[in-house]
Amino acid sequence: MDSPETGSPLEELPPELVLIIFKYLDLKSLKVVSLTCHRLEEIFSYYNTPRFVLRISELYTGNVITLPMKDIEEKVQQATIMLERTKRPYRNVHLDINSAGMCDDFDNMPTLLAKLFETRTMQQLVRLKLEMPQHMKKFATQLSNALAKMDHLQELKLHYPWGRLIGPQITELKLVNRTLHKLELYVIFPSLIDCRNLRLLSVWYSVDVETVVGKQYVEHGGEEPYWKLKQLEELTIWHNEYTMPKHNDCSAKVQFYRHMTQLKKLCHNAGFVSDEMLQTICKSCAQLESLYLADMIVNNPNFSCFLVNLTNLRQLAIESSINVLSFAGVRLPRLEKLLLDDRNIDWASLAELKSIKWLKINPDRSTVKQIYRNPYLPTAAMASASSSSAKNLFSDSKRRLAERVAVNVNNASSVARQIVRGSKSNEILMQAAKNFAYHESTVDNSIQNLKKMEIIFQHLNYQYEAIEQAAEKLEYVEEQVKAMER
Amino acid sequence: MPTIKLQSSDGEIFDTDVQIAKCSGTIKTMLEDLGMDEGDDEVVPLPNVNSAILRKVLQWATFHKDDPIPVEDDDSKEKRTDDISSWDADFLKVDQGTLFELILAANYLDIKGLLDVTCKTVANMIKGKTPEEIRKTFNIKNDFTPAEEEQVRKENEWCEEK
Repeated sequence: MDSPETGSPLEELPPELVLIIFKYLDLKSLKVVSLTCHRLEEIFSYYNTPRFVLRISELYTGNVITLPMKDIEEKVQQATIMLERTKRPYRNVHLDINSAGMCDDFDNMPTLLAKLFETRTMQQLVRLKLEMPQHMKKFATQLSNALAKMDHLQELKLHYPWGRLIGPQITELKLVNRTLHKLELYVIFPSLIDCRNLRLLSVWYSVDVETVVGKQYVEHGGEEPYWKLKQLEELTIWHNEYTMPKHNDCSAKVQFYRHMTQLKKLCHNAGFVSDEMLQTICKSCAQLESLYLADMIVNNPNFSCFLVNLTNLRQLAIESSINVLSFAGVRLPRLEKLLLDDRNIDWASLAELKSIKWLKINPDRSTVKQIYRNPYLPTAAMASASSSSAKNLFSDSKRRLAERVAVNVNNASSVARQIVRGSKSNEILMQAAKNFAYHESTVDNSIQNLKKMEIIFQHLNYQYEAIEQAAEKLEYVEEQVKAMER
Repeated sequence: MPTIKLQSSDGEIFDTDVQIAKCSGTIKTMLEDLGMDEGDDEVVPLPNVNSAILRKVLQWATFHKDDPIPVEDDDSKEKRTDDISSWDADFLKVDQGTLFELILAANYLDIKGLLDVTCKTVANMIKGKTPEEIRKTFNIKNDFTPAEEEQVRKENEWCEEK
């Protein structure tokens, strides 16, 4: 089997068995295997490529954040050539040209990118992550067209460079796609979303989505000429201290939630949730299973009456609430997980939530939040974080760490107790042994007694026999006495 | 204890404990679905396994007869290969031909535990080697032209874990 004429047993193995072996190898080893021969390369390409990501990016090292534009252009060109030739069925692509940064000579890039997107591989993608440079406006139209042609796309992540300004709404960018299921938008927000299969949407550090989309419903009588989002099942809206919507007018937001009737999961960190908003959310989004609210100002002391409608709710998290939260009289039959902050809870009312399996009460986050919200604190300072603010920033995790340590110390002490108990068991054993020894002499005694009793028994037998003999003789004597009397 | 007769491709008959034979999913299904009665003198032919390999397989199955049934695990993750028991490691100190025949037999007889451990052994023979070393280990002929090899090498550079 090993002789050169018969070939290699590994090469001759059926592909399904080669794949089982491949399952035990990491990507690094698989890449090495793919370089050994055509057959193994083909098996790797065909079956394993879909698991991996094709990353098109010119990595910058050290402190160089902006690369020369021509390096990035070259990388995109190389990728295009490679994708035109490849036989590998890539399904995940991560295109990162963010490092083009502030380059002004972006003029060639749109044409190069358009060519890249024309390759067959790009059109058959399932997952695409795009990190765009600031000049993406110039490519937005082509990108919109390319995305519309991707008939297998299920997940799309769009990143726009991080800045202190509220994310731009790029009017040239229109998201139209038939298959897209999950969309994540960072900073950027398109002027149109028309994806009939879209169920999961998350928007990070971008425009005030609730107001922008809510106004659409106000102005068009509930119609959706720009953003078709009524079918959404999961929605995340997340802001930071710079992008957090400042105004308090929530009438458009209320309109927004009035149309989000299919929501099962809502994650909200986009300013305060008011009475009216919470009421609308609870009324319209009756299918909610998971609800996360970062900040809540609900003045109605009986806030829980809003929640009653959410019969499917399994998870509820309210990170911070200005008002006291009482769960008195709330019937949430499926609520399993609950997270609250520790400032304003009607503790007694928690007892009414009978289905709870997981409860977390966060220590007061307000100090952390105050630092985080301070508009005068520059980004750099936030990043490097002066020692005092760092102390506060991590107070939460420190506290948790302390709790963990306390638990561990407790555990350690119980282990120690067990060990002590274990060491005592020796003494107990000794005592038991001694007891046994005592008993042994008793047992000996009783054995001897038994023997004595046996002997006594024998003696008694002898005596009995003797008495019997004597009795017999007595009869004889009696007869003789009678004879003598005669 | 009830036994069953297994016949290897070269005609040798192995009188085997039914419990051990049932390590093999193929034989188990055959016995249960086709209603072959235990204790019958019928012989189960295994045309894909020769006597040398069948002997090894039965030796493995005898040692592992009390193992819990392996659970189907998540396919997406890369799996461990450093958890081969010392008995298995000794058992698999065989020439490469035998090792690969054991893989084929384990697959044919549907013995997940044996298939896993033999494939792990092969994976361990691949890990940490260069392409040339792998070719040498498994007697693989390099059928790439230098240009093709360079092409694969370049393309590999773009691939990343998820």
